[in-house]
Amino acid sequence: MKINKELIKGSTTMLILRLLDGQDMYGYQMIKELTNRSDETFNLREGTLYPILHTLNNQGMIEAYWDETQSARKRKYYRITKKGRVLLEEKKTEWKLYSKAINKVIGGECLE
Amino acid sequence: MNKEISRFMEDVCEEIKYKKIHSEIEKELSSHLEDSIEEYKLEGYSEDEAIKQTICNMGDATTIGAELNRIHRPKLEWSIVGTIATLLIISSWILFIIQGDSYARAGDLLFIRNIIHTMLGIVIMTIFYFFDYTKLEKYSMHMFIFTIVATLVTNRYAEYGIVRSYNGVYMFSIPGISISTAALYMPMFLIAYAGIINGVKDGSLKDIVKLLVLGVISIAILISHAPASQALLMMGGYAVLITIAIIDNKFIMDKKKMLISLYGGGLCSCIAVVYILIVKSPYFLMRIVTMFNPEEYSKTVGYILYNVKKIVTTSSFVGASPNMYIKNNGILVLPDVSTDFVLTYIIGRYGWLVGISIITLLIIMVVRMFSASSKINSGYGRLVSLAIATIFSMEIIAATLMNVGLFMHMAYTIPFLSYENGSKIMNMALLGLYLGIYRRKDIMITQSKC
Repeated sequence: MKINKELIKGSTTMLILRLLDGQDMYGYQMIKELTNRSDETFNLREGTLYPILHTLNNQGMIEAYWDETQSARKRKYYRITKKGRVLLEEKKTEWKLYSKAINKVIGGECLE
Repeated sequence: MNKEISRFMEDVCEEIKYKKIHSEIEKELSSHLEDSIEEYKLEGYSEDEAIKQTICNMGDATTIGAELNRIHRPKLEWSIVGTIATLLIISSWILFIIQGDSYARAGDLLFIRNIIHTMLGIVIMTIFYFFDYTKLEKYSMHMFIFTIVATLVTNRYAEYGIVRSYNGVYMFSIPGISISTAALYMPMFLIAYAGIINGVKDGSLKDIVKLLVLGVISIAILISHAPASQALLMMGGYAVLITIAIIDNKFIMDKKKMLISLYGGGLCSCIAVVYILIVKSPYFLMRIVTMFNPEEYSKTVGYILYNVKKIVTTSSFVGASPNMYIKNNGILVLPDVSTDFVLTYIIGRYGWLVGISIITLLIIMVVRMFSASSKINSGYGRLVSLAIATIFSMEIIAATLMNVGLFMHMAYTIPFLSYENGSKIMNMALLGLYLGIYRRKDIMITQSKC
């Protein structure tokens, strides 16, 4: 089922940081990974990825570098920084609290 | 490249005003597009279909461009520019007043010379602002060695050509502009040092020793160039740079231990430097002593400090102090009011309200410079901007304390506010460099992995 765009937008930063926490990736690779890992649930408008990546780079959360692969195509890779890992943990905690709270409300607590 | 792809890239780039970033963005986005097209082709799509689908997946080019534009904008730090512009205006005004105050014996060319220096300074500031500072980094070691050689050569050739020695202070002097050689070399050492620190890759003991040796050599050489105030500024600058490098994990040794040895060692070297200065000139010790008891030396070594204190403590909130001029001949009590004691003159003549306003401006400038520097992420830019912020801040603090009688008289002037001659132009150059670094802080400069 297609998920509301607004819900996705809020957590994209966390998802990207999580991906990069595992390994350095380039833009297209991130899109593919997100689609695969979420069993096709997350299907970002691909172009919107880049403003997010560039913003994170400016904030020092990730770092960019150009790398030449064997196919001689230059790709721009991103790697997560220490600062970025700290942010990732914060966002994960935030997400856990948030989803727990939502679950509590819809999960069957009767409202007297 | 296919027509549709280039059309897409054009639409994106059209929204991005900062043209220098276009090539980088084109490379990244087209790489993405090509990957996507290739994958579709592997799945059996035709070339045209693959392209269509890819572009559809990307989203709206204009929207993407607009968002990238917001991110990649060269920025100016207006609070710093505004503060300094205000200081420059106040400077022009007060120097006009001082020139008109016949009892200040400041000479008739003060005002016009200051205007010329300021205008030249603005031109040079603009040049440095647009200069791509990143080009400097790889010449850091060259610059450092060059400055060492230059300081040694200047020692030998004082009194030749444009190098003059006034009371032991070496100056570069052309008609209308002069600057002490120390004031010229000090920032060069500091900026080169920043680049050398940034170039440290392993952070091993070898690197630490290298930095220590270079630091000590440059300090030792610079002390031989009066005024000593410049060498002290440089020591402060080195301390800040090394501290930031330690905090940013440049070195492999334990951070706490390094910081302790840095500041322990720093304290020792400060004591050593003060000792050397005392040995060079016994009056130096006297001046330190008079800080604690100005009345006793008010007729001799403590004359300046005593009178500065007298003026500022007897000045009213709005209005003059009665102690500005000598009672029997009306001459201004303090010498060098256009340079070293501008703020004292202002407080003495116009009162503390104006004085506090100016001090507030100066505090704003210091705070904003450090806060802006902390926003800069790039290693080299961060270090250089911090070095510049440190130079300005230390000068401001020392000179302001001096002007209110809380510090002994040393060769510090309040940047931009005083009549600084060649130093004003130097300060504007540094300011331009600083603003240029800040301007580019959001524009990504990516390195290729070799």
